[in-house]
Amino acid sequence: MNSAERAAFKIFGGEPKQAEEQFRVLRQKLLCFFEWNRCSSPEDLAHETICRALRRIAEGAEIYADNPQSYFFGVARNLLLEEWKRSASDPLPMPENFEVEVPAEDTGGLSPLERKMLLGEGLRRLPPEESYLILRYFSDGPEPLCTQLNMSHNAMRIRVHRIRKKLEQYLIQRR
Amino acid sequence: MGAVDSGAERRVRYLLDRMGKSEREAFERNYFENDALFEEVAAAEDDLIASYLRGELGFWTRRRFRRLYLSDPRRRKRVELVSGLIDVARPLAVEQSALRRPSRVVLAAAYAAGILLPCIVAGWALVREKRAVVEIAELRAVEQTFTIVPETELLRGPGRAVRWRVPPGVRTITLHLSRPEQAGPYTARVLTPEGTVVWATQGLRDIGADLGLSVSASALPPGDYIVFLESENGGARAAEYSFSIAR
Repeated sequence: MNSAERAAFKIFGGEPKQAEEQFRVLRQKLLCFFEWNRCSSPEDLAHETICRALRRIAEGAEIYADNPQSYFFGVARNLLLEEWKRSASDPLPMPENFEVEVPAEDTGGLSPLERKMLLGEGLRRLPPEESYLILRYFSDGPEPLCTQLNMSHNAMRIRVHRIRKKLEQYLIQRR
Repeated sequence: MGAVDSGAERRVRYLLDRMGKSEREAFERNYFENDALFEEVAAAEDDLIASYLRGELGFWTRRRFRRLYLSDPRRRKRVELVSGLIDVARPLAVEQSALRRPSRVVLAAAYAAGILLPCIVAGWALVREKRAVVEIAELRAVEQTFTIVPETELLRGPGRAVRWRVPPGVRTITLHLSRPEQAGPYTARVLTPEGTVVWATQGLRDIGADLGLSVSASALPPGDYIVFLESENGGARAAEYSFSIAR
């Protein structure tokens, strides 16, 4: 374990597994933060945020926030402002027909047919009640399910979101 | 109730980039510090995507969603995942219910009864719904494929099989077949009930638990069809399926 990692685990405290999980959640937040702010390369910016924050911590910077994740948010926010300034001075034009001309995402070499079949496989790997929930939720909307299962909309939304993430993870691993 | 609604509304405004600078910064700081809130925002994004695909967004919201989500490869991938789930769950219901129109006789009677204005309003709502349905079809057609899951037995007689409505613009229809017990590869033939072969292929192999047979949409006009799979190891008929394409 190098000094940066030691510093990182010290930030989150607890057992290494717990710190690792918190780091995973932090990275996911950074990815979403940059994506929701319309950055073109969220993965690079998330990585840069973590590197900068760990470098400063290793150099002796103190974290005053109650929640260490706030520190990373501060670093991410500054990096976002840099990214916006850079984009303003060097903008990438959006093609006229962007909905068709967007380059195909990384599908791991799978055709649309194979992607759909993988989706079906992924659904079959879920417990039947989860497969039923996610399909019914997205096709019919939340209200019928919430009524049927006597759950609040928020609780249902979170549950389906976790199932979707599980499914997405399986699809990423299979690609 | 009001607090929940305003929270949901805030999350949608954030996802559609409709927050002011200071409100946005405070919102982002909150979800960095609160794991549960972050999960709520991510789940709200799933809901927003599903609402778009079901045609539930208003015009300006839909337009903003399309610019934000269909132009970004990562976000578009999530839209496609949810679209795939809706495809698997419900291929017909949205298109069929939204495309119903009142007949001319009904319109004439309504005019005579002096209730034309509500009919115009209802018609406008139907048109708006139809546009949303067309947009859903356009999103699927961008992929140019449409998936059909045939029945695993021959259902004879009209009205027995699920009728699939293929959106305009689709070039390839994928028949998603459950893998037979006999091992492949397979020769596949698609026939009309009268026995005319409309499509055939050899060397079909399974991916996981299923097989996918790609057929040109132009080879499958509305009607009933049967699929025969024959194992190329011995030539025995391995499985039969049926499906119908609606007019």
